[in-house]
Amino acid sequence: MNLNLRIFIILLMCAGVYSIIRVIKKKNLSMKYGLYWTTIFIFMLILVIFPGIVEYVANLCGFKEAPNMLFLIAIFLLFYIVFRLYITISKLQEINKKLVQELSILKKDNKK
Amino acid sequence: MKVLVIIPAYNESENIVNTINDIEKNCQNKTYQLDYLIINDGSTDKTKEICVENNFNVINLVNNLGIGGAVQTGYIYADKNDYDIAIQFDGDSQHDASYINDLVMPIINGDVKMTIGSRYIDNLSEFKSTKIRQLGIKILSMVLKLTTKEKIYDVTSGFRAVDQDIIKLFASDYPNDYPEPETLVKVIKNGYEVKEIPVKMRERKYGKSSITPIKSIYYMAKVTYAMIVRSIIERGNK
Repeated sequence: MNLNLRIFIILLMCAGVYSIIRVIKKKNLSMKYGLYWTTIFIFMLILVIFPGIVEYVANLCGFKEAPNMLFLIAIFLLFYIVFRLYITISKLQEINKKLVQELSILKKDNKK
Repeated sequence: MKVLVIIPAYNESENIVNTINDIEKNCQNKTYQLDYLIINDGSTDKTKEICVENNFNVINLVNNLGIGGAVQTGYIYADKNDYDIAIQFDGDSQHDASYINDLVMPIINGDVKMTIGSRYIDNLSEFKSTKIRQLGIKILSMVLKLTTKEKIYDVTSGFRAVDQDIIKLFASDYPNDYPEPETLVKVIKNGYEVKEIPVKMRERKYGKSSITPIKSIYYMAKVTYAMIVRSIIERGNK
């Protein structure tokens, strides 16, 4: 991999980690999800600094080209994250529904 | 015996007064206590004001929840206030309150746990919905037969009565959208008996149905999927 490209990606990953810490500080992202994303970024950082790891593992698994493995992993990972997102949204919807129902019943009982 | 009529209402300002008059007219001379409760599902029209003006018994949901969440609020209320029977009754003047007694009596007599007001048995109802909708209902009725082995014709009817056990069941878990056929699977899979009662239904006077032609394909897919999944996850409850 070209050195300039590697430096660019490293800077991008560092900016990623920095912005995650910033949104955690602003309480726009919970610690739990911050950990997910930070882990992903740091993992990618390691792979960019030591590209040999990717080549080695891809060879071991029988990929013709090392990037193919990265794409496959990335797609699976994104699928997984989006799926988790849907689960979280569904849970929130249920909680939200419960809150609206209980609050509305309470408001009615109060009026009596 | 305490019976609660649950009336979900979303933007029904033109129909709600007629609906309540219809119910109050049929409240008298009953051997049981019949109350009604409107669930105003965050209407954007004057439904709330009209209910307050007329001193109707109403719960105003602080946010729009959709039909499932609104009806479930009624079941939660019925459960909290120890009602023996809950009846679902649409606020759009489609249903006829004179049939409430027909739906309640089989439950009071202990014959079944749930009754459904049906357009498709005994030919009582002249209004049967459009041809295409009847086909959709027929298909869903087949899906119900396949998943539960029970034959019920009017699976989408929103005119239904349930006893205390099913009130509790619905209060704890109720589908959010297009709940009618799915709840039938749930009730039957939990081992309760359901009976169809012939009723007359009217065409709605004002406003339009919530299911547009474009949505109908999604409706069929969602409901069929929900019924199949429901029949799998409720299997162990019998």
